[in-house]
Amino acid sequence: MPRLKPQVRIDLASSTPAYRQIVDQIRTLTVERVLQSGDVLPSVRRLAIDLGIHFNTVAEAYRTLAEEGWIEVAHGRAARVLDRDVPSAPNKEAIEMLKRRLRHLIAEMRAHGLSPAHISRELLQLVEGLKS
Amino acid sequence: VTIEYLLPTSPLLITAILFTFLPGWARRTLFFSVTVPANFRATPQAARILRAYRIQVGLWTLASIPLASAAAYAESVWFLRLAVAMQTLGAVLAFALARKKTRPHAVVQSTERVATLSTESERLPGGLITTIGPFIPLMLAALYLDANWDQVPAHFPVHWNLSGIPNRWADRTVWGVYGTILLGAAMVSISLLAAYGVLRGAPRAAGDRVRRLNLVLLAATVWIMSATFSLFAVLPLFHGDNPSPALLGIPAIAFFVLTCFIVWRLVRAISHAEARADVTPDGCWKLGIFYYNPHDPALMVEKRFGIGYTLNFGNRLSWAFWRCLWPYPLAWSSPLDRSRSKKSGIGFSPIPPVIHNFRGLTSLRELRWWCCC
Repeated sequence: MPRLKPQVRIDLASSTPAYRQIVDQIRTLTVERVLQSGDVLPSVRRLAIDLGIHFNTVAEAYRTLAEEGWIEVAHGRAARVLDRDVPSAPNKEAIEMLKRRLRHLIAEMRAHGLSPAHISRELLQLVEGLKS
Repeated sequence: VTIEYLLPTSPLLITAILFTFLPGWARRTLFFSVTVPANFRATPQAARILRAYRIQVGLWTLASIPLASAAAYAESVWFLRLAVAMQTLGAVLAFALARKKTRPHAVVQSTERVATLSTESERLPGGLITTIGPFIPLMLAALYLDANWDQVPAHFPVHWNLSGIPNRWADRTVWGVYGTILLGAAMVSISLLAAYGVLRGAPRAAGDRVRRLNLVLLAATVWIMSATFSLFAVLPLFHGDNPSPALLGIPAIAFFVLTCFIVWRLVRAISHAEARADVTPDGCWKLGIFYYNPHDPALMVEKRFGIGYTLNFGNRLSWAFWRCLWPYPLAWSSPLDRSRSKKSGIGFSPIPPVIHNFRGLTSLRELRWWCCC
């Protein structure tokens, strides 16, 4: 069965900067194995034209992803997804920061009217998806 | 009233039909270049706006017809140009007015943008064959003319009046004989440049057939253009000093039939297309026709008035592209044309007079004029 083409969806009216939205989505696609090691990403110019945003915004997103080790960016070559090593023992500070972000996200979900049971179910489903 | 007096009005009538139907040839969520709810076209307000627009187009056309008929009477092409300009400006004005009336019904545009993370390289229909192929008939025509140079008449017609009688001639000079081929090559190059502008500089939308069909139309145009100019170049060899322009009718009819078919497919595709493919902000469409958005990196975007693509005038590269386009209309009224004193009247020819009557720059004034352009 042919693989579905992954998409990036951004909202220009969102309080989250466009480059951050791109980074978050490509990272999610990589973690969920929708984008696999060796996959080539569109050029900065192509993605900027398709999204209707400035080239620098996309370049910034690719740079951030490269710094985090998700992709490889080399001058004159296409950006490529890397097989990123997962640290065996994450540091405590990082865990605390991520927990804080998760708490904010759960509060936002509650604010949108989702019940704790619903949120729990969604989170479990996401974790199961990562395992498979 | 003879056919000579009626024929000049035919471009006006064809344009009027086009202007009448053009507002319907857009995505369901677009009405006179304004983003509206998908069902807005079915409302009485939309019907009223459309009716007023069509009446105005009709009135402007009626006002232009006497000018077009005067062109045949006075045997001056300027009257015809004036008539076409008047009708076009009138239609643009009618469109702008309709747009103003539509604006109160506009909906807030989505700020969401979607892009596929695909690196599949999109190609021109026909690939390399369409890129290089159209130059081959032109090259063959040039080689054939070179091999049969002695058989080219000393003077041959390049322009015919509405009865098919020649009314302008060219001499057997390098420019007079090969000028057509050079112009053909230039026109083919510009069309290919436009096609590559769409491929590389226009936003893609997943599963959008409109873009593909537009590229098919451009590829077909390039081939027909190549055939027309090649045939026109070798015409004097086949009919001596009195060639018949009927041969040119073949590519013209082929082009017309093919264009009608592709446009019909395009209109169907547009009316069923997903609305989100056009995410250009309404405010960036000047008069609803010209797109100016310096914050959009796209070189070309889908038209909102008519079919095909238009330039994003907010992109500096688009101005360079625009400069490639204007020499053709300019050539029709160039001071380098030595035949201006010879009144040729109205008629038809795919070649501007300057191509066959170019004698080179002879004065500083002309050189300055070209440099200014």
